[in-house]
Amino acid sequence: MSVGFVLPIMLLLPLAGALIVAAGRNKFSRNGLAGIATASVGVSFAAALAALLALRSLPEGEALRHRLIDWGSWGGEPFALGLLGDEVSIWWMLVVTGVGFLIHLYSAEYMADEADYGRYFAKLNYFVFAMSLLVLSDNFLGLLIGWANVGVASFLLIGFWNRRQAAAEAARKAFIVNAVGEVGLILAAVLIFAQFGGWTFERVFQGVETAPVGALTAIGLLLLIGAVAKSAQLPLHVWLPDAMQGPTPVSALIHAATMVTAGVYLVVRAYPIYEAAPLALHAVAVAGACSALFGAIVAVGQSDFKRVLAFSTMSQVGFMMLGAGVGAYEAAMFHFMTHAFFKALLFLLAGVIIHHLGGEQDIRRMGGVGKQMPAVYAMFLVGVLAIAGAPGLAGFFSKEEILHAVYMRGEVILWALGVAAASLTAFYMVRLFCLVFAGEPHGGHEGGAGGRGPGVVILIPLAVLTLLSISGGWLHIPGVTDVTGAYLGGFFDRFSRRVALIGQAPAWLGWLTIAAAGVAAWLSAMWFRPQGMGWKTARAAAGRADQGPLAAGFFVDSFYQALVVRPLIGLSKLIGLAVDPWVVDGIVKGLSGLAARAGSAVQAVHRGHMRRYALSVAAGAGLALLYVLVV
Amino acid sequence: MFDSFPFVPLIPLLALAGGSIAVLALDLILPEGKGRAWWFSATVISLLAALGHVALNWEAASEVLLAGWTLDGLTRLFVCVAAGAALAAVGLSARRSTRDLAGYLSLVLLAALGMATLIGSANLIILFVGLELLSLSLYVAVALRSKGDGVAAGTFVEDASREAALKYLILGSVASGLLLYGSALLYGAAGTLDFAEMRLALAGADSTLLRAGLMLIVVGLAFKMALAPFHAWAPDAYQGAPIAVAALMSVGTKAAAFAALLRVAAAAAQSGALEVVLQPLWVMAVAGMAAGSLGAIRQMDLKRLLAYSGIAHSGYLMIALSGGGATAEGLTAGAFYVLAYLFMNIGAFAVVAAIGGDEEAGSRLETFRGLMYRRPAIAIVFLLFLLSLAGVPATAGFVGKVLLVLHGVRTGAVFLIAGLVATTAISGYAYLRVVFEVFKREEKDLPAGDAAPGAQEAAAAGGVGISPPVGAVLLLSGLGTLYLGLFPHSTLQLLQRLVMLGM
Repeated sequence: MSVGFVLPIMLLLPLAGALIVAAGRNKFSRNGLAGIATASVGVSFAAALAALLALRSLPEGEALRHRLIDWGSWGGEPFALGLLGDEVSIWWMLVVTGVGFLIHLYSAEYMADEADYGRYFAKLNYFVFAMSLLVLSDNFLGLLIGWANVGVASFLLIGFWNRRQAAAEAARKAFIVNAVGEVGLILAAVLIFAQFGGWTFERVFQGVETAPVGALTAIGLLLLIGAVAKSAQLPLHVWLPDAMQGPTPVSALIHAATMVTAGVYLVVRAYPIYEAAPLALHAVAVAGACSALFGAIVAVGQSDFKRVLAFSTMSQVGFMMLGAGVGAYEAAMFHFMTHAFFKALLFLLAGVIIHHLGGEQDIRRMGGVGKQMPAVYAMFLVGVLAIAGAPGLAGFFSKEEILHAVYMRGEVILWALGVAAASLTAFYMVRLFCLVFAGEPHGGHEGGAGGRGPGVVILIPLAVLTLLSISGGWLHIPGVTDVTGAYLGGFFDRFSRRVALIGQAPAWLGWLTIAAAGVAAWLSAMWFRPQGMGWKTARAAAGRADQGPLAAGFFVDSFYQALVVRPLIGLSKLIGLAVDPWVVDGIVKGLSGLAARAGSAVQAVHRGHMRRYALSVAAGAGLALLYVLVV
Repeated sequence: MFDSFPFVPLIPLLALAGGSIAVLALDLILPEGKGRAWWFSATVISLLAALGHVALNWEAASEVLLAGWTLDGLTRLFVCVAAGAALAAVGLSARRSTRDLAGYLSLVLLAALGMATLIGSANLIILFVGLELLSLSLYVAVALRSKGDGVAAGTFVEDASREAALKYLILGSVASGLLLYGSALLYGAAGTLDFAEMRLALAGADSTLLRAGLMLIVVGLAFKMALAPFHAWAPDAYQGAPIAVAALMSVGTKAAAFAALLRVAAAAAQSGALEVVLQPLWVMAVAGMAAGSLGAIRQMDLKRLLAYSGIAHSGYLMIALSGGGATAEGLTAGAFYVLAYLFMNIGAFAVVAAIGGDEEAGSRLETFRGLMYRRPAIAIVFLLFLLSLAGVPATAGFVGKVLLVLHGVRTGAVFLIAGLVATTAISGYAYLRVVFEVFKREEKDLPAGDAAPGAQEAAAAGGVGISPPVGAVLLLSGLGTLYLGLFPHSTLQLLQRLVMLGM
């Protein structure tokens, strides 16, 4: 207990960094700004390591705790913002601050030409703070506060280039979709309070045993709405591809490695609720499997480098959800970690390549990049192999473990969806790799408009992530190592209601996925090799707008536009027309028209809407009276 | 005779009344052109006297004075809010031209007096007197949109101001009529005007007369709080009114009418009729939340946007009444919310005043485009107020909403909570639109660009820097919003004790 003080250090250092950088953004040198921001996250990572050691030294079942702010009590219920460092939150913190540190470092060079250098780092630091608050909170209210804050940070960073219309639109879209999720989360928090009389995890999970299944299912499903929105799962994934309007390191940190996994964190964190509400847990698995497949299918049809990776993120987070949804929380956490490594690597390399090609993002216009940057070529290949599930690399072990667990739970359909998604992953990643690296440099870009290659500050994080993408999976090799198992101990046994798995998984299970992915990769390589069919089609279409259901993500966006956005605007108009004649875009017109006509004020009152106002008062009063007299 | 007259406890009312007379007298006495500082001093002193008196006697015993005005915890708290709002309004009027100034300040004080009277009313007559004093002063004050140096008489701004005042007057009179009629019916049902006696007389009573009377009073007060469908006046009135008056109306009137509603609900607490009468109020509350947040989405004028936001906030505030009208917990939550609303809403109006002033285009959304790059300090406090209005954590608005939701959960007000959560999301977008504008950077916003003519004009007017009173209002509102959001504990404890005294 006494070592709980590392928790606020972890949390508050990035906040302090953000404030200092924001205050000094016009005063300090660029190196100073980047140094402060990066160091604050680096020390925060060190604190996370210290917390890890401290946690290991505690007896099993105990956790680090710290009370951050005491809000006193109200109506008998204590209000406090407490921090909790247990197996799950420390795991998440290690990845958030570790990968966060590497990406800060990368940004120091990558964003060097940016005028708003300080603003960028302040926002990035603020994100790390918000994410830490989300992960470290010991209650649902604090989690919700962190949740809202990461939403704001993501919004600010997507719209970082706020002179770009598209970036502003994308930021707005992300915010609105996440607001939908927040409504779910807030309602869940309200229900939790109504059911358990408090918000701390401890109190809630102790009450789970006796709570009615109906309430737990409702809470679980509402939490899932929040998780689905934040983690870009079906059907609330529409914001993530657009979010790629933000700077590339932001895409790597927030929209790939950390923030989008907050939904997974939520499910893992609230697992006692889900264990007691099988229906809700199953919904998690179904949402995950469908998103994994959907994202993989759509990624095949994308031609923007970062959008391919965005849909791939949606798909990979779907795997984590699938794992959590069948109760394989360890596997979900494991895949979260490995995915953070290889997806961050892929995004950061994408940034290097895009810079090198002078801002080109259309993969149909790329090619031959490897000839100019062999190191990038090699590292990207590692990333592709890791995500595609090549045996021995990070993604292989974690993905296998999830699919394995899904099969052993008897969810054969979900397992089949997962295998299909895994092989499609190999397909679209090889496609991406071929179009970017194979063949000769595409016209116009040779020589590299970016001029200089990546410097040391960029290469270090890339090298570290490459190593981790190779070795990250070795933490848990079935039958050989089991670091994750040893780390988690019996953490998930406390509330788990799963019956122990009986029997050994059939040996063909692993071979089947390897074979499926291998075949898909081979097909893709044949199709997209230089002068292959797909290659020619893609090169011929270069520069044109994408068409077809794949490129448009099966028109989910248009669907929302027609079914949600337009009706809401219509409703707002209707309300405006009913009582507010100044609707609103026409206000300037109204003003000038009025000014022309305004002889006396009395005259204006005789215009129509005065009568309408009076009518609404009279009608309202009349209806209310009628009601109380009749009832 | 003077021995028995309770001068000391009546200081809040006496100070406000005396102040308004003093300002007018000073206008007569002092030579032309010399009065400005005196008028302001008199106004501020009388408001501070009222504020200081209640603030220094927080926990004194409750008493009913002259059989018509209660001085209890509830009164003290809400008088603080009303006087604080009036003080802010005076601060925001610091740049007003001298023409009409004495009358204007006197009206602000009279409105505050009306609010204080209404808040502490112990019988139906005083309630009506307070309401009318408040309303009549504001009808006139709304029409006094001046004429800052940029606005000539007879221009559009003046006409719009008059038109808004007239609309407000006519509709407000209808509402006053309904309230008066309801009071008559209630008197008929209870046989007394006094709230304390009414509480006993109405125990267990339920009749058509009683229900109709209560309902009409509730409708009258709902009009003042701008609950739907009685909200239509608010956007026009706010837009037409001087900013300072709009700020005073939005917070002070709402707080006073809410306090009066609590008084009436407490008086009828034991009757069977109250529960029935509250049901339409829930509908009005949710309708207000919906109309306010949906209406706010598309506004291009900040004063109208804040008016719609106020409609929604009135709806939220009604959650405090769930669970049978005036309960201690509901009161605490409601009082906290009013306090939070005081800081964040006054703050938002102060930003409009600081940037746009009372010029025609001053409150238009374009005026705030790229504010972050022109006036970063103001933009950041503005952001704070907007986030607080939206209910984002670490702000006063968030804690207020949480308290209301907790109270709603305890009393099972599912309908209201669902309304709050759903409309919070919608209105979040409305505030966010403003944030977008503040952060939007466009080439044409660079200095000497060809910005919208109105915006440029306003920028020129506001470009001289903020006057100290406006700065003080901004600072205090910002600090209050943050303090209540980060450390609500001590305030909550204070409120709990006050509520104990108030009931």
